[in-house]
Amino acid sequence: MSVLVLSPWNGRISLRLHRHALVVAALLLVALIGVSVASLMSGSYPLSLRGVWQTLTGNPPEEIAQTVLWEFRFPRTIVSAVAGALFGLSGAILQYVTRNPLADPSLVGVSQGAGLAVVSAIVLFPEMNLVWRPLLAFAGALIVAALIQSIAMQRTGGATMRFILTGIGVAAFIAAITNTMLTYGDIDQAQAALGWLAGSIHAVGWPEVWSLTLCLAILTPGLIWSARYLSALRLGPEVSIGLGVPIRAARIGMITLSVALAAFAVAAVGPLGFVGLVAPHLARRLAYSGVGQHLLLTALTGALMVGLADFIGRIAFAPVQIPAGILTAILGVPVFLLLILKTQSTRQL
Amino acid sequence: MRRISLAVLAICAATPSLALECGDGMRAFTHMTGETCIPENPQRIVSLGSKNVTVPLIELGHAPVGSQGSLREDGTATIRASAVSTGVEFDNSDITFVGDYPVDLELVAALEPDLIIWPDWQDEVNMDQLTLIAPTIAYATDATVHDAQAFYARLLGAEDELARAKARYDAQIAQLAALVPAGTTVSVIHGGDGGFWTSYPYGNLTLILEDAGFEVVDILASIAPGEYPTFSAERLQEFDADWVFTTYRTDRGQTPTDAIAAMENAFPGYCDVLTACAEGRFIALPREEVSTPSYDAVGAAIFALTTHMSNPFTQPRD
Repeated sequence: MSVLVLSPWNGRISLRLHRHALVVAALLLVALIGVSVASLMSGSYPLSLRGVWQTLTGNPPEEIAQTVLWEFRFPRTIVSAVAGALFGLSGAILQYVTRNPLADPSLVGVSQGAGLAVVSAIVLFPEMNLVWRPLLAFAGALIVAALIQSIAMQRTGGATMRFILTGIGVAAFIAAITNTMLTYGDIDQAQAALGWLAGSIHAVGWPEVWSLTLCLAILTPGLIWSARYLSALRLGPEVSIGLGVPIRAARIGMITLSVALAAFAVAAVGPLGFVGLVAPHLARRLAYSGVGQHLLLTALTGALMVGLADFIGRIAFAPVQIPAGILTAILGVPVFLLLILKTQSTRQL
Repeated sequence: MRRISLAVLAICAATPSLALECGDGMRAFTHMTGETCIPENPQRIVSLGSKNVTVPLIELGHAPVGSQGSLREDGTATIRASAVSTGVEFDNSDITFVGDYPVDLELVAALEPDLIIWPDWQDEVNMDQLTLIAPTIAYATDATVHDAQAFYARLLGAEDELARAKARYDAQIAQLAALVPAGTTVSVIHGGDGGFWTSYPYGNLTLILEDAGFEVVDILASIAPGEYPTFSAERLQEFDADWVFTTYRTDRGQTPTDAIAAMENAFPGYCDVLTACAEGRFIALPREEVSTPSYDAVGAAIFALTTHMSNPFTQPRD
């Protein structure tokens, strides 16, 4: 296996990179750029590549191109990619920490907490301004995630299995309350809530771009810092302790990081739950690598999944818009199954 | 509460605006979420609600350039309630289908509208985004036909047409009211999963019935406006009245058989329990005519009711 070792700054930082993973990352990046460019060109108001360039550089072919590209398509393209990356990273961190390949943001209550907060607002306070939805989703996600963590960590450091079981239990309870509201709420409001729960990117604008970019900028140092601890945690608690990792603090820190990543994404686009589960597995099957590179591949895979889903959902049956959350599952599952069958791998986390 | 809000809005609309300064060719217009500068005479309107916006616009002679629509089972788009109310559809007009829920914002922009009308249920797109395309005004979906038509007449300067339509409505109601003995009770009910659902007011149907002198049963009167509660099937008899109505959605290809099947599913043998049904006064009406804010549609609904009230063999027994 070809490995590239980099030791910049007189060896203060040492990077061990798998060449194959680097190639796959480059290919994923090219694919993501391709999807983004296609997304900027396509839609109910078609633009040539030249038209896109002219509009981005301040010389739009028509005045309306300025609005379509700058106010609708560009923020949408950025948000879909960044949100996909955040969901993927959140899922990958959880899968490492819990050593459970089925972990995703719904396991820590992020999706359910955000869902309950937003559905409650839609059903109980239909007059509430839409600008509160992302804030409510964020608050709901954090509160439920904190509740699950506090219950799971109460005794002897919070064993992984107790954390998983607590997450499943609390998430099911929250989901039941949400379903009750959807069942007994006003039918129009329930439809609006279901639309949000399906995960949708069509209504995003620059505020979502800034919030997600800020999230990525703030949490990226944490992600880089987390790689070494995740490398140890995935080997199990005994080995981690042997390697000098403060298990409890590292686990709480990693889960908090995962919750923050998913909460920002859910607040912007709704709970696209499937991405957090599948993107890490897809990345792992595309190229074997260390934790740091795997996180990079996962982010790119998640970004590509959601970017592609939003692009197809926007143009496939235009003007009818298909929510990205539905398409990530429709497109992602066959690809995922194909990769599983192809690799015939028994590799686990 | 919504009616009170609309009344307040109507008063506000009648008061000359002092706050908003609009440029040449523009005027201030008061709507559900505030006051907006709109063109004096809008020519390229995009409607984001078919039944509640597009239909009354067409009826007042201002077909929009684009409209929200819903999809039929065969995948084609339709302007809900328009075929029966106005005869105008996507396939026989220049109106562009701009999506359903949500609408396609890019297509809305591509139509280069000078005014967008946003009904409050279309909450997957927000006013801020739409305002980037064109001046946008909000419309309260559950407005009565009177409030809705007054809103659009004020928007389009069609007060004369409105006065004629209102006079026709009053005459139609007077004709119906003459057939309704004092104290005649009425209710509206739908079969649902494990029970019955309804609302009060129920679109234009409640308006027509109450204007004609019907009295709603207590269980209906207890419902808060804007709510669609589901009642246990065990409470079926509380819905019994001299006349009981249900509705079915023609835009989804439904027929009275679907409405009756839903009732049967909720309460097998329901017709034996409801006196009105057993005596032939359980009536299924197409929902479009009783829910779209169109005087043409309402006129059709009043005529259907007048026909039933004119049948001497189905009248309530003393």
